[in-house]
Amino acid sequence: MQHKELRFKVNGQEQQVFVRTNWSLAQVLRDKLGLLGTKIGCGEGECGACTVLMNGKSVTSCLVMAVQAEGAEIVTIEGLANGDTLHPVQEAFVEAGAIQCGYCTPGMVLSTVALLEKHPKPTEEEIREGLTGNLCRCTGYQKIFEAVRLAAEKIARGAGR
Amino acid sequence: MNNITYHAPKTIAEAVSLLSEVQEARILAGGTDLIAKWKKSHFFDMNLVDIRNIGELSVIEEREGRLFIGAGVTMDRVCENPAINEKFPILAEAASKVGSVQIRNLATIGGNSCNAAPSADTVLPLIAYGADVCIVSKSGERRCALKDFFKGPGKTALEKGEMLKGFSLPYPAHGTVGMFVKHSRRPGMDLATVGVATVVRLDAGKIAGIHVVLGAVGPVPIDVEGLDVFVGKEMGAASEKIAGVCTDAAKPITDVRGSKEYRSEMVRRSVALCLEGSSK
Repeated sequence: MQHKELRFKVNGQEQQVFVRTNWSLAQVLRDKLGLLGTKIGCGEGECGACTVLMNGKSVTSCLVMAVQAEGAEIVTIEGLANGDTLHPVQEAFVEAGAIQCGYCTPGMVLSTVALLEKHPKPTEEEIREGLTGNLCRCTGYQKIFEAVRLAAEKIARGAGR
Repeated sequence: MNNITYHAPKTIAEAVSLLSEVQEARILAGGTDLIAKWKKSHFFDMNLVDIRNIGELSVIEEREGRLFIGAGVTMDRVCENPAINEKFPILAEAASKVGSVQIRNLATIGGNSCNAAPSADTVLPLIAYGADVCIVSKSGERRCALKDFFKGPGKTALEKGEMLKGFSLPYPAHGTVGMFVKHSRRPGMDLATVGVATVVRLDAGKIAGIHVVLGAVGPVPIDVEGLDVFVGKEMGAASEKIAGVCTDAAKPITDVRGSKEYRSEMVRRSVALCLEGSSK
């Protein structure tokens, strides 16, 4: 079994971990770094529960081999809040009631962050398009779409302050 | 089982040298097909050559009066690139229909061809625009037409030690219109049930050039032959006949995504829809 030393940045902190070459990035985030907010659902890139930001882009971390993250900057759900202050997208999900069992939530939130960076005022179509890769089996999505609209408003208001 | 050796070359020269040395080397690009397949197939042993760090493979630039797109260019970049959007709009459109945002951020245009799935979205416009593939190995570089690259489901013309470097596309003549249809069960995160790309050039309402490529209706993408007879004809009068020729060229099978009869009918309708759109 081949091992490799992996150096990368996770939520702003430099990390240096010894990983097996057959581990996925999701496994390393969870099992090596204890960042359990990243969920593993299907393991095949279909459900989006493992979504993280890698060098600013959303990716399904179950399809990225850990060794490929060498030198990368990763943001997981744990890296969004500022101390006890939630990120506007997290706030919006709470306020809109967009969370039921919660398993899809970290991925949904990170996909929303990526979506709103690209489209600060997303249309309905852009919202649906932006969340195509995130499945939710509880909410029926309507509250989630509502949360995305609310988050966009919150961010716009924050920027105007 | 479950053993992976991992190499991350920085240059094409390093990569092809690894490909010739490492036994049964597998190229890892976006990983969206390979890693998913690896997990579904009981974690078979792999000797990975990860090409994502090779800068030369992620360029989009003009070379010799044609557009060169590196094999390692990710789908999100294909969607957003200004030159592709301006000159090859249905390539950008097809790339935007691949998987989801997260998948497009990882998946590469080269991987979409090398995986050789009959349903591959970006392959259809690439063939319709007349793309060549540039293939490299330790012994040099060769080129072939992309339409001749596919040898069967999952099989390509790549020989041992060879890798895809990129695509070279001739700029379409003025007045060329491309149309693309991905017919799938749901709009996102699904493979095509039927895919159609048409590239048509009209001169005063008459067909001056026509190319139709069909996906997911045969073991390899089908570049429909015998359409030259329609050159010089009025599009309005010919479109039904062209759709008929395309339907005859399709060799669909029945699977979870649709029956062969349904696919045949969708080829006819999608081609007609594309041709109608081209003359607007």
